[in-house]
Amino acid sequence: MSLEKKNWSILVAGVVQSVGFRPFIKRLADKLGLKGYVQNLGDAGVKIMLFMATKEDVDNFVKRINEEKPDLAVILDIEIKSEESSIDKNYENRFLIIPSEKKKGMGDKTGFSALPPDISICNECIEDMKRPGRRFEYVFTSCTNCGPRYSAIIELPYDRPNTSFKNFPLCDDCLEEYINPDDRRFHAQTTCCSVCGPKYQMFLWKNNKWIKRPLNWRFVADSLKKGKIWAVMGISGTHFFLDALNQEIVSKFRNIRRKRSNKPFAVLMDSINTVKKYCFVSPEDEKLLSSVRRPIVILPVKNRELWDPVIPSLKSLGVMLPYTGIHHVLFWNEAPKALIATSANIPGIPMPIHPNGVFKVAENIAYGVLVHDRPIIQRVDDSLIRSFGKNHVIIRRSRGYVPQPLFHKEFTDTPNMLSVGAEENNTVSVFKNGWFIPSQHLGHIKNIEGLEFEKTTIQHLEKLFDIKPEVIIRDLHPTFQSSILAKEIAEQEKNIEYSVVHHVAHVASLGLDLGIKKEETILAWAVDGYGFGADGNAWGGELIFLRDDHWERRSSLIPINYLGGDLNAIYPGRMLSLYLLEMGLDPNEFLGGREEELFRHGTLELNYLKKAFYEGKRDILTTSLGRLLDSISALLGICTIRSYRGEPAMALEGVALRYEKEIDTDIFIIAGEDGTLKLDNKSILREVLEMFLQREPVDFIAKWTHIAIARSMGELMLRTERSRKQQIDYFGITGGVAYNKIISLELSRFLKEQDVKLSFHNNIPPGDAGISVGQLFFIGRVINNENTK
Amino acid sequence: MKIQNENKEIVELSHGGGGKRMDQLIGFISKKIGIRNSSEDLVGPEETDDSAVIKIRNTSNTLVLTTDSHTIDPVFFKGGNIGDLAVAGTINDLIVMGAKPLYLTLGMIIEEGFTFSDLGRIAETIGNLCKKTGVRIVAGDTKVMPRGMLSSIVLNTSGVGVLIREEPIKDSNAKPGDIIIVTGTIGDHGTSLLSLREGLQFDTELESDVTPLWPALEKIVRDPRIHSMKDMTRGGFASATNEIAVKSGVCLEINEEKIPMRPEAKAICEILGLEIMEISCEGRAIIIADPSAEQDIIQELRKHPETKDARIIGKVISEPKKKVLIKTEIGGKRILDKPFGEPIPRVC
Ligand SMILES: [Zn+2]
Ligand SMILES: [Zn+2]
Repeated sequence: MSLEKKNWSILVAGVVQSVGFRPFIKRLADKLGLKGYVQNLGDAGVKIMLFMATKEDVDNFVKRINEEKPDLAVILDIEIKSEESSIDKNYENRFLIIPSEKKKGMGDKTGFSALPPDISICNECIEDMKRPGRRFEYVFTSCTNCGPRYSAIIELPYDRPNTSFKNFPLCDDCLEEYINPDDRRFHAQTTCCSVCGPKYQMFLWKNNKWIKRPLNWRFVADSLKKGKIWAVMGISGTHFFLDALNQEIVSKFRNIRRKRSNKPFAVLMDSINTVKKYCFVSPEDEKLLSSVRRPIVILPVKNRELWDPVIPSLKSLGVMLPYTGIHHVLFWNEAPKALIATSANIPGIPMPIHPNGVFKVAENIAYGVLVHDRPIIQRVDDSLIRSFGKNHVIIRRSRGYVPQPLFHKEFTDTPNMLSVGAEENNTVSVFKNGWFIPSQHLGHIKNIEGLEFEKTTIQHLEKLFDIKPEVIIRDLHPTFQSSILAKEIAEQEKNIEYSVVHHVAHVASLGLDLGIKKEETILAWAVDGYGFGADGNAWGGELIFLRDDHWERRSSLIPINYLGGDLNAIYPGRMLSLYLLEMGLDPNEFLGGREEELFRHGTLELNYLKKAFYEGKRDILTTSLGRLLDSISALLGICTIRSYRGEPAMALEGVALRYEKEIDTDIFIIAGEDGTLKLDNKSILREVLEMFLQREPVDFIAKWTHIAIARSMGELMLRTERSRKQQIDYFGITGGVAYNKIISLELSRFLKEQDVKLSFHNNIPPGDAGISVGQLFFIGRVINNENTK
Repeated sequence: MKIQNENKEIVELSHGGGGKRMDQLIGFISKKIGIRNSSEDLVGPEETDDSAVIKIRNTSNTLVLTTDSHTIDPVFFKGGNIGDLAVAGTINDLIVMGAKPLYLTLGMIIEEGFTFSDLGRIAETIGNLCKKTGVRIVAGDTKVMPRGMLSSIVLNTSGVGVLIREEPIKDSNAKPGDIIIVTGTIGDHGTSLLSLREGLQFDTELESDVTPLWPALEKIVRDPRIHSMKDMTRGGFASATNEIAVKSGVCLEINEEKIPMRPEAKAICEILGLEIMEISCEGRAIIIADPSAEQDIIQELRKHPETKDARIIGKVISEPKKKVLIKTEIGGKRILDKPFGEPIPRVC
């Protein structure tokens, strides 16, 4: 044991900035009687200097850092170095938090220091808002444990001048808290109060203009109760609020907002008790709903009729709990306990984050708006998670999650990369030193507004994490806006450009999510609506084997004529007709009289389709599972025109969930033309057609469809493995259809019977929001292999 | 996989579709030939505009030259035949550069077995159009190919005109603030052929829009306030607008509901899964002009049957550069790209 006293420098890497890490270190050092300082080093993490301490002191100190660190801190690496034993007079008797130094890539092994996501308001801050004083009903109240982060930061290091609070200098009272090491707001960069902080303003829509009125929470809550609609700017975006249980006003709102669209709305509820009153909530759901991330959780509702205008045809409702001061204040003032809280965006355009945008979008819709003067640096939508009871699947990974990275240790020498994803529900991702950082939800980027959002997000991420990509990765699709953008960037920045097959990126994203190693194998169903296949066809039901950077398409659905391309996605009846034709049936026999319902151009269109099919026109074929579900949804009359993404299949599942009894089905597998086994989608549809003609109940047929598909998928996985005599380490499911609870759970149950475990996504969305990070993982493997050659 | 240059080994049909792949094909050939602008070119071949504009030394006239080959199936269609295409296509390419069309050459490659009566009808069409436009056929060439070597008949016309304004009208001259005019309904030619081919019958039958825009555009072409002009052919509205946006380094912002379209043409696209803005026209032009010329242009265009449906459809803005944006009814501005070749699905 050495009692020799030395100076020590300790470098901590990971998520250690803006999570209350430095105050924690200060308190700990004081408790242990250590002298020195702690300092943020920008992207290099946090540096701690201890003067005249023994090796034992240091070891104990580091042990307690690891044990007692704040909830949101993630420590990846601690590097300890001893230095000469001189003492700096400044720290002879004390431990200080000293100003940040903006240094890049300093000594720290990973060269990376992550920033936390936006965190929901903590209980202590809520209590502050209830007490008379400078924070009474002051909705921007925050502390080192809570408040905006990613959406409010301009650049690292995370200090007040680098946040959107830079224009709000602290008042004397706030400053006192800010410099007091014992205070919860010690170095809280987003702290403020009613004296010094940002403020809300209230406007009402009168005579075709916005008229300013004194802010009055009670007035807002009362008018919500009376059925008025409000547009409310929040911490990272803007919502429309209205009473969710006022069916009349919800229907009216739907008509103004989303012409002819059945898209479900999310609901903000005042408390977990209210959620339990209306939905089935598992203990896991409750934990998630109440977590500091505060996502929207999609839960089964108890009374479907009550919620029908909010979630037409569906059986599940997206619910969230209050996550920022303004939500609490509205409920304290007796706003309705369940408020629709939907993004206040013009369809196809990202939601506004500046007051002017809020005014514009709310015109003629909202009775009033609430806007504030704290700039939103990055737009971040609410995160969306579907409950499968015990498990959860993340649909939209945004507020509360982004920019938290994923790490894989086999990639620490891989060059910096940027990936641009696909096109719908898109995200981008950046990569540096083993860290994969997916962006927040960007939405559809076919419109210029969405594409601009994608561009600014890329800039924001590259700046925050100090990444200059050498490599840019896109989808194989030649005309996705993201692909065109990637080509433009590659040309400008002289990046090496790569592309990845859509469904391979899906499986790779699952691989990263599971942390698979270079030598491990994964066999996964990548099931969704559409992706540009390696052969140019419309893929969407692919069984893909992946090991390292090698992939194979082991099976799929039987290819079906995809005449007219996207029309078949929007008009599922058209896809159904192509299915019937492929099965050798005459659509007129089964759909006769329904032409006007199923086709945009009725009989004329069906006649053309038949003629073209019989003449042998086969430009593109589809193996999409999503399109099979769509077709059945149309046949059963559940959804014949898609008004939002995934609607026909989601509505079909909604109906299937009404049938609660167990169902037994055959397995549908057939040898395809190319000799490989295929999922026999045609026979499944044939059975469904027969049941439909025999007038079996629709909910039964819908449920049967899901079970038959899931079992056939499972059997195909097992047979594929057996026939190749190849060890599969992971069996998985990914792609948008993985959100389907019945298919995912039945596939899992079926495999479990054979002692095979099905792996789901944990931290990455299975849908197209996961494509960008999958692109990084796959090409990262490719590059690693190129570099070792 | 790493992106390779799209040097597929064989020429595919989509290389001729008027989209991005065609640009690649033309680029390939031009590079091999070593095509270059010369100092006497006002608009040289490198600019891939509709015609070349050449100021020959020691002459007062500025020559405008272009050439075009034509195949079509069927050779006779509703609203015209291959003779209309050959004359209109070449004349229109001259006009949109700011030229008065003067002379044509005519090359004909005929398949063995083609009837004299059909050939006669085509020749008469060509003759009538020459009379109407005041253009003369001054040279020609005829070949006959054995049966099966080509489909029925191929025509080539080269055109010569003279510039009738100070400066040629270039694709690269659109300026922020300019108005965008389309001279008539879009997609009629392509959709009328498709309706014939696919047997899609409507109450009112679609006709090809094929027509020479001379003399309809004569007065307009002389107006110095016209900044850019393009006749829409293969690749349709999407190709023409993108060429201007890219070459001028501006954004063309278009109101979707202002674009004139026939409901039948739209319906055909909605049944076949095509984008009407990518469908070919043979007698329609895009005009980009200073806003002060708005009234004069519209009044003039309304006088002529070929351009009576002309409308202002949008404006030129500075950002985002090199993009064509379509403002839709529900909000949001869709990016309209140059067509790639065959339509590719994208909806998940
Ligand atoms: Zn707090
Ligand atoms: Zn204050």
